[in-house]
Amino acid sequence: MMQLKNLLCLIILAVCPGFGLALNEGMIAPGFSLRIFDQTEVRKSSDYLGKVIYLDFWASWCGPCQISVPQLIQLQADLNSDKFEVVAINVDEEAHRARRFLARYNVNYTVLADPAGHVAAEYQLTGMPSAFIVDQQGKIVKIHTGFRQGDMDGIRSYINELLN
Amino acid sequence: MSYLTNMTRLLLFIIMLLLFSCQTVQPWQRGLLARPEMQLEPDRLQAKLHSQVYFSNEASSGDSEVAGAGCGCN
Amino acid sequence: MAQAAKPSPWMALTSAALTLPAFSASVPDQVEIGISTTAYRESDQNPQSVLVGSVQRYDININQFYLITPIGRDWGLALDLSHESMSGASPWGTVSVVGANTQLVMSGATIEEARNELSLGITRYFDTASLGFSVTRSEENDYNATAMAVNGEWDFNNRQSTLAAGLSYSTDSIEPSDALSFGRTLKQARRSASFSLAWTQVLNRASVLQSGFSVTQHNGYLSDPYKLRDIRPRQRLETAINFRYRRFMHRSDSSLHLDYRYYHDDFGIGSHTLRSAWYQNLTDQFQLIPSVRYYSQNQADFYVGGDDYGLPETVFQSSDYRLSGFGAVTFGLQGRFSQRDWSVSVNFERYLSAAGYGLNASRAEHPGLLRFSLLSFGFDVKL
Repeated sequence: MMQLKNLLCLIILAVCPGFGLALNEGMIAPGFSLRIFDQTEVRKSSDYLGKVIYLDFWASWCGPCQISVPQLIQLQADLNSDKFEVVAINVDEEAHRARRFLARYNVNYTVLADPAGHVAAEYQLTGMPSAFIVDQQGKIVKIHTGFRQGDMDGIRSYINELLN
Repeated sequence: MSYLTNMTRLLLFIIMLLLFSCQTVQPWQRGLLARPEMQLEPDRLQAKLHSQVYFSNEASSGDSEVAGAGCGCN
Repeated sequence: MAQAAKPSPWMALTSAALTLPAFSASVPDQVEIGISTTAYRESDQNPQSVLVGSVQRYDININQFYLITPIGRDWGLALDLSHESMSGASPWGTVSVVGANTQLVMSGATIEEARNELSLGITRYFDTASLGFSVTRSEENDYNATAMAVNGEWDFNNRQSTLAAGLSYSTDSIEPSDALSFGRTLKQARRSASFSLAWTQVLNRASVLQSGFSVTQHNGYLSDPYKLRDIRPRQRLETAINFRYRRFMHRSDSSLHLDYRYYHDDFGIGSHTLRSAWYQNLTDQFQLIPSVRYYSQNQADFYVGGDDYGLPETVFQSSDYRLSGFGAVTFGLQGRFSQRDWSVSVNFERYLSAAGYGLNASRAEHPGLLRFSLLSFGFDVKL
């Protein structure tokens, strides 16, 4: 009986891949455990509890990411890293392209590697780039999809509010 | 023109075949589609030049130059 | 001034103006600039085929420039400029003699003439849609055209599908040179309106298919005033459907481009165009792109092989080679060298046309069918 129920659940889940809860602001950020880009050291989402984090999913082929990177570097430089961190998750399938992209910038924040896109799938990204502002308790307070000139001002003021 | 009907059938068949290769592509999986050589028109000036040259030397026109696909970034 | 038989081919700005500008699907991230210079050289006529006039055809130098820039958060601007200088001769008409091949009456070689074109487009970008407006102006000493276009795009299915629609309108006027001395019409005008629709579908991670449809209506003076005898209808309805397929090939690190267009109009002309290009990455920076294009059209209903002055002027007639039945093949090779923010390219193409290349049973070949070569150098940079 149990086996039949399990089988039915499996069939239903296989047929309806989107059969899960949509990720919204106010929900707990899905956990992750990823290697730092080009290193063996692993970072977990739990490492960041107690800090506000700007979780940014990016790729070398994403045009708007080129606008955001220098602005994120500035953001991290301006804010105390004990209280706030930018955590960038790279989804490039070809690492050498991400490496070339990073070589152009003096990145002062952690870059993690998610080449298979598993974490991106958990976070149900609807566009690139996608950013999630996560509060000190690990709750998603803002989802920001895309990046255009002038977006950083709004992001900054939001983060400042959280820190105070 | 039965010749045209056959051509139409062939085109429809090819399109059906292509549509069967359809798979969902998530936003973070668009790396290949974002490559310059995968764009509908990778070279803007060459496309305009060809449009002008061929329209001027042949009787036909009507190549829609619109965007789409690519990295799908916001 | 020395007699100038204007290159009627290049008076056809209308198509370029009516073609929707190739704007980006999302707000441009950076300022992008591109320039290109092209040498276009038509092959000389076989002297046997020329009854009177020059055997030399057209030489045209084309210089192009474009600028794309974001404006603020939600807007984009595109500027396109083009300057062409041309000299040469073109067919004025044909002469058929029973028992012999049709021969050309060619104009004399011209002095250098120029055409300038400017196009400005502005686009507003929304979350998953965009709306753009553009204006184009073309001027040469005997021909002016102004066109405007509106186009919109909508993304669906997590940006896997895009629907684009465009509407454009243009007005052209022609004042043939040396009209009085050659008995040409003094001043004429025409108007064109066009609508197009295109659906782009991401098929999978490595391929895309675009399907498009367009319809254009022309009204006014559509004949060629520089031909000795050319009387065309004052209306023309054109329709075209086209497909573009792009596919990335993992194993060879290359991309295949396949384009097909079917065209039909109420002059009785139907055509097929098939173009294929192979983008081969040789290194991270260098790319080689061979291409081949095949074209076939059948003749217009009122096409005549040899000008017949006996036909009344109320009967439509034209011996323009562009309205005859023929096929054409183009071979092209482009090399592109890319760095992070800029790239240079060299492109060579050779175009050959003949009645026998066409799909339909070829009738007598027009002696003025074209062969040309073109060589382009291009440079683009992101700032």
